[in-house]
Amino acid sequence: MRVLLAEDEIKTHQFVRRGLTENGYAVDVAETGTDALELAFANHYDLVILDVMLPAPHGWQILTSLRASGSDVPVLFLTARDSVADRVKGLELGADDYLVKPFAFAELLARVRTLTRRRGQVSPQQLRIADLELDLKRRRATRQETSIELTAREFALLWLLMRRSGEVLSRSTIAEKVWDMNFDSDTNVVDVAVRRLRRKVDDAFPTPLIHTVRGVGYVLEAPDSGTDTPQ
Amino acid sequence: MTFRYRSIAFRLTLLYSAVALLTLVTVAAVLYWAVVNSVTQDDQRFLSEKIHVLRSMLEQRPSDQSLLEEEVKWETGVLPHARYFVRISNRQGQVLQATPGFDRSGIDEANFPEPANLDTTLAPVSRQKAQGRSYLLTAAIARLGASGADKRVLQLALDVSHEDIIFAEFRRIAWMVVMAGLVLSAVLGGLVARRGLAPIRAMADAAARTSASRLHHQLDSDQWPAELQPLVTEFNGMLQRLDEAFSRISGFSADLAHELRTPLNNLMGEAEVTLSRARSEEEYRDALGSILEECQRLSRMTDSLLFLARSDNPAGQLHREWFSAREELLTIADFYDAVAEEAGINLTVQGEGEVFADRELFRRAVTNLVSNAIRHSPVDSEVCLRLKPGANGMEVWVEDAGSGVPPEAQAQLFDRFFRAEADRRNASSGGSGLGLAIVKSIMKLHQGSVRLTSQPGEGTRVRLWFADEQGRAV
Repeated sequence: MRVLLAEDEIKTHQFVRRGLTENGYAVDVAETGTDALELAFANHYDLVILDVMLPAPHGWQILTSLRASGSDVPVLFLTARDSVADRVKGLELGADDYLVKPFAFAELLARVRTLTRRRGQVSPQQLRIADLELDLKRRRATRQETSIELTAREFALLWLLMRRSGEVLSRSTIAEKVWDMNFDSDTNVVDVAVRRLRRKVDDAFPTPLIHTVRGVGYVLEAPDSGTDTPQ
Repeated sequence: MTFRYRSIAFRLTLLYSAVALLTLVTVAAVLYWAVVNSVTQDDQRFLSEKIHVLRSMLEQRPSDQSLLEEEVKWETGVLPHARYFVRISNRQGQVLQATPGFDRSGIDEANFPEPANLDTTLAPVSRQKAQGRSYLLTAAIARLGASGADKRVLQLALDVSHEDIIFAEFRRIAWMVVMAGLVLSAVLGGLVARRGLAPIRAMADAAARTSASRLHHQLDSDQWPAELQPLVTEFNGMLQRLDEAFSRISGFSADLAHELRTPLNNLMGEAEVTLSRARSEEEYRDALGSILEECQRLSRMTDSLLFLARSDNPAGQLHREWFSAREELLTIADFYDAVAEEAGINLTVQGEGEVFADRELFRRAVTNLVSNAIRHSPVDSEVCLRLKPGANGMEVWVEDAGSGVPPEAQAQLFDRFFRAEADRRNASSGGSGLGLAIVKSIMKLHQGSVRLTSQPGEGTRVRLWFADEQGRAV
């Protein structure tokens, strides 16, 4: 997967590039609008991450030129001005998604994954991570053949973590996906819910699957998946 | 020039002058008409008298030719200012007697009016100009002898040229008076208008003296004319509102800087101490995680501040709709279910009804209250979300049986960055101090209200009131 990152703030593009590279993306950085357009027309990208406040031509103009040339590459724009009008403008110009600064890297990664995911992928009815199994149809969770009693929300939470296993999910992503709370609400709620889920899913078994990534969020991962995850 | 046209003083001057012009012209015209009328009546009376004399002579002494001749030929030149011509003809138009010079005067026969009948004493009059002189013409029929079998036609022409000169002089003077009056009224009107508008200039000067640091200097309300009183009152009200807003903003900026210091200090300290010597990977990870948490707190604070800043000048950002308040409350209760259970709190939802509000903001307001209520509730107590439909709106109550709010803190509770003493020490575990300020601004956006009643030791009840859509019957 090849990503073009158009961002003039050095610290920002450094950490985004590093983070994306470590997650398996090839990242090209453009620090000016001119460079961004040149690169975008010269190469094939799977995603363009565009800072709206780029020096001339700025983000909106690049987006317009891209779409005018017939390119349908997914575009994710970054903005520090989160007025509704700004966001609407970006989406109207043909952007696919946006993130408001400051953003959590986990959030950016999640959006990047969604945008570069192959289209037409069907959600599976059953998920299996290590010895944990989840059956969506029968709404049943089992681990080592033992059935685990879950409330509806706990089931939804586990489903989200398993479906995006290996991916660190931020508290606000979890709040949004599980409870449909789409503002940065009391994130303490997510901690409590995950703690309770853990008690049921992990506590009775030797190898924990749900891990806390301090300051970022939560991830569900099989112990042999290779990535080194801190406790 | 456009500026002059826009000036009130200029317009007032113009109006004064127009009124003066109209008045002067009317007065002059009426006077002129009166003078002309009176002089003409005098002339007409004079002509009528002459006709009367001639008629008497012709009737009583028809044969006394010398008397008639005397009257026609010599009497006419006696008065220097009232020279007149007489001509006496028979019914066939043959001239029998005429004042010398009548033929040479250039008076046209056709200009004479129809001769007045015998019973008419005031003969009709017409005017003619001939050879540079003006004449007043009249004609009448007279009886010859007492029998009246034969008739004579009398024609008189009065020279009124001297009157024309007087009238012309009158008109000239009248125009001069009108012009002088016009100039005078323009000058005086301008002065009066300037003087009358002086308070406005004074007010502008007073406004010019206003600056951010002198907002409390109000205009003295009794030194202004009555017409300007409402303006002064409004101006003072505006100054006061600006003053309040200004002190609120400067106080807020100070608070903000102060609030930012703590997390910044934590960030700097943590990073500095960690870097001061070599540490294990675990310790670095821990330090970075702690720094990240602090950053997230800062980020949430900026989000909340941006929200508050935006709600101060609302411009079409409210998307109100009707929705089931009960369903929303159930969603919120569901969200907090696990937290409440952990804290040993029973979270319930009571009542039903619809509310007209922005769904996301409604949720945000109630969530902030529920979060507070749970944080301040003891184990084994209840937090209740209650819907109370009113006559023209919906009340949402959030009740807890917690420690309550001391009365002295209740007033400040909705101020930005206000935290009760107990919450102060550990900012990261408590709220940012913006939660209730956000609730208040959300209610203000909805033109609703928020009220808090609390008994220390017994619990707190917060009531949100959402008004109905205007014009919708409930």
